[in-house]
Amino acid sequence: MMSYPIITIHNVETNEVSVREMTDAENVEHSERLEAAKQDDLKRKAFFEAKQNALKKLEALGLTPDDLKALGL
Amino acid sequence: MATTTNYGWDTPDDTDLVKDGAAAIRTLGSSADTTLKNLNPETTTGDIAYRSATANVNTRLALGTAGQVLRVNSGATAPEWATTADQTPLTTKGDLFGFDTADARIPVGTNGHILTADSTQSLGVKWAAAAAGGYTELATGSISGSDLTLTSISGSYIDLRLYVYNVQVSTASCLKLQMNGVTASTYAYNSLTAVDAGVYRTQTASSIFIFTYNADTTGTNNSAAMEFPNYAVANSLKTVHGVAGTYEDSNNAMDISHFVGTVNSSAAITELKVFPSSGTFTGTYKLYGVK
Repeated sequence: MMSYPIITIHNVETNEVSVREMTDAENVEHSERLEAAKQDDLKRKAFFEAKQNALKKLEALGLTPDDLKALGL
Repeated sequence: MATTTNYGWDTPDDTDLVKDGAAAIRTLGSSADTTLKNLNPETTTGDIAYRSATANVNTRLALGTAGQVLRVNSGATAPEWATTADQTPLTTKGDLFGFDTADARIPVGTNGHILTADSTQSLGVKWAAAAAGGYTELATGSISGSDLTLTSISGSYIDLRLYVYNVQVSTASCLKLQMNGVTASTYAYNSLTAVDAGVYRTQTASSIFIFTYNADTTGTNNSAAMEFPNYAVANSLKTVHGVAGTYEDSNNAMDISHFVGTVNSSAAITELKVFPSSGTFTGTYKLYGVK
């Protein structure tokens, strides 16, 4: 039987701490959460890659970000 | 026979004969003596006199004993010397004078405690520990596994502070945050990092990046501090701002994340979830309520 990830739940009101394996439902939610996080991360990477590519294009043209600011862009 | 104006002593009439003068003088003197004695009944040092029920006749009140006070008697008819009961309820060093329906003693509190108004107490006050610097530790513990969830967070504070430190991830990954169990892509945040010296912003994330870049697996001391201002107010979008220091994976360098975020949840924050974007993590967490 495949084991699920371990999670820590701290009930702040009762100060009870539970470290246990995820339930089926929690594991599904966890998988969805990680997939969503992965997509978020891809967007972030794409954002910075686009930024880096744009900077490289500027550099090839002999321009810098300060030149763009000077142009009001 | 003529009489004096104030005390009615007999005096000779204008027409009385001289031969009766001695008797008249004796009568007048006796009357004056009697009256003066009636008005000055004191016999002993310290005696005092007070008016009796009879006109021009005072009553002697003998000197009381040491420590006695002059008071009105129980029938409210005359003064008396009396030893009064102690009028203070205080019995012990440090006691304070209190009151509920009558005078009452407030026993001294524990060292370091402060007196606090509390309408539920019979005397309206109580001794209580002073809040240390406005911070109350709500939860602390060790992180292990795939996520850490803090549930049933009290709404009794103004702000929340969450610290995670000595964090190590099992696989290179970011650390992320969700509030109130919201998993939909309704988080918006800005993150400023040192690696790119730039700001990343989004309005459609499923969580908020605490570590903007993947933390390296060898780093054992990644840390983050987050504040959730005004977290317990309903009908208001919930926000967070924080800083994180990480040993960043891809560039093999230190990185800093300075982030602000919000989630489309107007309920008071009662749950916080921290998790790595993959694998597991270890470390320590502390949650504080701030007043």
